[in-house]
Amino acid sequence: MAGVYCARDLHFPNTVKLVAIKEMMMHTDDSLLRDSIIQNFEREANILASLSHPAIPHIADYFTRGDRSYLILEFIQGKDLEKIINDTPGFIPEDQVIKWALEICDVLYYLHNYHPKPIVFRDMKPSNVMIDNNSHVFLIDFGIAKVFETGVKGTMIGTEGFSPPEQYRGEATPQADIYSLGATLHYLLTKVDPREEPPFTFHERKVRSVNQDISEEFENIINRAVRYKPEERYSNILEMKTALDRCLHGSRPAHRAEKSLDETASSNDVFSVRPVWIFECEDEIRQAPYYYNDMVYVGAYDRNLYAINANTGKMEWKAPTEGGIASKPAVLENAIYFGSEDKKLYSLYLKDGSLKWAYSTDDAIRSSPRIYNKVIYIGSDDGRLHAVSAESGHALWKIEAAGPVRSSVLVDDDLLYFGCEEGDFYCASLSGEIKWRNKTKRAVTSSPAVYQEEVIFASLEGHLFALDKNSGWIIWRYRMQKGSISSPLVFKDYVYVGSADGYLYCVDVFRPVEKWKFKTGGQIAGSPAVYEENIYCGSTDGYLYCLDATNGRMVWKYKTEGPITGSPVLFSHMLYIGSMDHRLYAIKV
Amino acid sequence: MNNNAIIHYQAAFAQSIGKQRDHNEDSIYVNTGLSFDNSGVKAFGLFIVADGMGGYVAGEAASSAATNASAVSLIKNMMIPFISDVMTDNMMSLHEAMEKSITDAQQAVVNLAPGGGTTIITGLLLDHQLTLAHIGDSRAYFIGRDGSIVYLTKDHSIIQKLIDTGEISEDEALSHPNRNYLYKAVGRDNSVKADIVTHVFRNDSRLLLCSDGLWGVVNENKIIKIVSKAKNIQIACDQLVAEANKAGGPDNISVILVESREIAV
Repeated sequence: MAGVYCARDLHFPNTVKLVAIKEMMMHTDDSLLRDSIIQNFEREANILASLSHPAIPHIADYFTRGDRSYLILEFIQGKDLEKIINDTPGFIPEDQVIKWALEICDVLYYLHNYHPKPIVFRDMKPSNVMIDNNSHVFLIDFGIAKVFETGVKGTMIGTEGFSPPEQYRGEATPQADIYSLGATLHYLLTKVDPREEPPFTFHERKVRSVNQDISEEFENIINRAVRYKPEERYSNILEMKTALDRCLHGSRPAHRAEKSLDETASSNDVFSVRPVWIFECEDEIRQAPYYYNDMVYVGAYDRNLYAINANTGKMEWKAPTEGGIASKPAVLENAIYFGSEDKKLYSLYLKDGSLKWAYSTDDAIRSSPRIYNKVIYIGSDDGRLHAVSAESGHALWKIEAAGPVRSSVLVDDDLLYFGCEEGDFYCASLSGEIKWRNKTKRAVTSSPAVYQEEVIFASLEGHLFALDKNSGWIIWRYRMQKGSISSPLVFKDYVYVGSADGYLYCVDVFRPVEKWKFKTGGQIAGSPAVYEENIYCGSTDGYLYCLDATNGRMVWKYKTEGPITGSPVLFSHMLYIGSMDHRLYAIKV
Repeated sequence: MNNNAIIHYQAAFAQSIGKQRDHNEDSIYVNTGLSFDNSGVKAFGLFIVADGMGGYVAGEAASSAATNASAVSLIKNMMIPFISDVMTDNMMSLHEAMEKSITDAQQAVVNLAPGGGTTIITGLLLDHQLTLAHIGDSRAYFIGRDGSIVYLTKDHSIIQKLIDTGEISEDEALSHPNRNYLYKAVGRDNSVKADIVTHVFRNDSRLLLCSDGLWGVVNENKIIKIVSKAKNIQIACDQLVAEANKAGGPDNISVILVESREIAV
């Protein structure tokens, strides 16, 4: 119930002197209550008038007219931190945040040591901190508006998300301001608004799980400031300032971001990840391999499908096609199935790779086969989804899609789900009848995943979608910074998906809320894989990453010699992944 | 479900001022329906409970303003497209439509009930997807026919947080001076963000939406017992309200129960 005006002071007719006028309204007809509100207001205005600090706007006057009271304050040209957070693309650099934090510490030190009585600001949050055009800090809004809020169920003291627990018991000590400053810094660095998170949960949401560019030292300072118990925080603001000062000027190690990506050769030594074997073919491996019965099958751009012994890495056979293979194979009984850019779907006998049958489509096949009830479902660049008998290699039916089908089909509850390059997403019956379709703005190359009643996939328009699997209605969508062709993985109520923006995202399966994201140095095109609580994914920066599924912390990474666009496959503590360096790696996990 | 049956939602509700208040600050909204088209029969429902605060006029005005505004918003953005079966590439997702309904509710409270605030719990059923949006301490539960209860929302109350972190015990909470303290309410801040989540609504359970006038005085076991034993959901609603009044009725009481029914055709 307050407004702020920018006004010109007409006492100075020959110059433009701007002031800020803060207007506060009373919502009561009770005259006793009114008098007490006005008294409180005047007391607060007098306190404000007695303060003198470069980071506190000067107060020029105050008065009350009718049911409104006014404060005339120095006008600050600049932006508040809330607006800076919203206007900054990406993250605000650590050094900048520390510099502001140091100035805030200065003014809080002034307030906390004020005589005759220390002043607790009580409402430290980004929208109450102005940054002027010279990048200096001003504290605005001295909670003076609060005397206008009368006893109502639910009235807040301080601001939800930024206030410490003890403030709800009516305690206001300097430790409360330390907590709120910690909360403000957390928001500045992560852009995760604490008002949208359960209160007092900063310890569950460490800064570096969101923003890996931040030093551990700075993260530790924030962690200590936002401790639940006041006595575990800094004992005074000066102590916090000293820590921040040391963080900015002290001999801290280089930021992780600065050293992460160019340390190629040494990083494999750092994490001591060693492949058990490496198999080399003649061209790039762009898709995931398939594991079956102690064998790993993988297609390469050298046009061959390779059958490799999973224990030794020795080739048992290879079978040529007439095009590059960008399709992950699948096995049924005694045969293996995969597509090739030569437009054909192949079926080869597992024992020696001899041809069982080949089925022709009208364009390159870049999608992977799915097998259900002895029928192979596979998309083709000819704009169709083909259903082919596994036994005979004859077409059962085809669905005409709006564009090339590179997405691989998901079969669930006797229904088929797939996307196409024109952005349409389809649900069809096993007999090829379209049940529903939904349209996204750009290509859906990603292959869907299903969880309970939701079907989940990514689109090149930059959204991760969750649709009702029965009707196709959009339940939620989650915005990524760039488009994605990565196929989502669902594990324990969370969706894991990569994007061209380089992030691997972990998003709640029931709502578009991010749990964590991890930045790689390239794009993530493949699907992540999970094995014993760890998430594995490759990136075009050449690394295979192993991340802790619960918090997105990197456990290790392994550098290959080329970009990785495929997905890892895990079986019995072994991980198999191909890279564009022409190699298939087998790594013990 | 057999092929000759259709599912639809049936709802019942009950409300009471309680025994200790002289006015009702709660508002509710109930709407169920069916539509038929080429792809079959679609069932839908929209249910809202809001518990106003802020004194005599403001509280009542806030809860009804929020309830009506969010109902209108959801009917326009979700139910009409759902019935007309129009899917466009710039359609809102369910969660976005829920968010919009809360923003609209917020705006309505600021305009129509300045100074007032309200909780809100909204349940939107489209086919068997239940999407909930909530702010404050009005609650949603699934009550299974097997006697199970699943608490679907988490109160935005400081007391809940203090209990969760072990700061105070459940017993202490009952007499805590900040017992009614919410850290989120519609109309009380410039921007307010609801918790939004989608659940599958199964045939074997019932959905209960209620204000703290019910859950604050009638314990979960009693709620389960009443709902499972009652002949139908209307009787259950009436008995729940009577039970809250029997326990002193310190606050306004609002209850909505929803179940899915199979009808042979």
